[in-house]
Amino acid sequence: MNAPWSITLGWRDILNLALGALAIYQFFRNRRTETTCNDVIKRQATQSAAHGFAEMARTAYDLETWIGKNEWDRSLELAKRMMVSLAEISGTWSVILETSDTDIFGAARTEIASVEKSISLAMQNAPTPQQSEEMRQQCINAAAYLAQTAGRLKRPDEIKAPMKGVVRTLIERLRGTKEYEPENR
Amino acid sequence: MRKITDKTREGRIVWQKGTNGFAASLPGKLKLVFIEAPYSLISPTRWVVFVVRDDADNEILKVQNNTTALPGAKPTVEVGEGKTAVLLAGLMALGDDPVVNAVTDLHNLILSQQTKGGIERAIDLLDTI
Repeated sequence: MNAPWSITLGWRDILNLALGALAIYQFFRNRRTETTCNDVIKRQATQSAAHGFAEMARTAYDLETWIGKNEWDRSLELAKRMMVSLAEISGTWSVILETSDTDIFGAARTEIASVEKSISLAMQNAPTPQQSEEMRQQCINAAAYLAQTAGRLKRPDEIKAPMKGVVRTLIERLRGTKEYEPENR
Repeated sequence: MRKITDKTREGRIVWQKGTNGFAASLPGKLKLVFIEAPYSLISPTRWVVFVVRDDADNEILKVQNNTTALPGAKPTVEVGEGKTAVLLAGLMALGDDPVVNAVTDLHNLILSQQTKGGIERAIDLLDTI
């Protein structure tokens, strides 16, 4: 004859179970907190990068203005400053940039480098109006490239995700478990 | 570069027009990208950067087109491999820029193919009327 299955728990067993449950809860809570913190840090970094790229785009337009006024000394100084800032921005935000952004950013640097060389030459021999216009166009190109990158970085994650993943993204965000994943990386 | 141009001419590398230029992908092998200048007086479609990457997105070759309205600015070539870099630097020092010229030839070929494709499509559409 089989006796009915039973278990007797003492106060120590109950305490152990409670401590175990608490440890599991703390583990998942810490994990979620860490994920959320990383998400916030990366979002802020992306915002800062977007601000930096937008600022560089405005500076490229300033350079275009100085070239338009044939202010070669100021133009050269600004172009050199831009080259340093672009190198700095590249070093700081290269992790955030996608491959396509890196190419566009490379194009912006190429255009500014080209303008800087042209300004140096323009200081020796005054350029023709067409040559000045081409230099201005290159500044506008650089500004367009940089503004494009800034715009993509500012775009909300919901729009970045493909349509089929929007619902999943929202659910993950509500659950607080979504990890930051730049698109196409 | 010559191989890429030849394969483009043969139609084995197909270039797709993108927002900023052209891109081609050889699955599991290479990714090729042209970034074009949105505005230019020198050439209506001037390329600014040409990049070749492997499947893992590592940069193999990057050619920058620093051509300006003012003569004297030289283009820049960056390559992944050290030995090749020295070789290319030597070629650049000769005065001519073979890599940049080769990239320009490739870009011109892509443009001509795209234009030809557009005209052919237009003719096909006219035939359907």
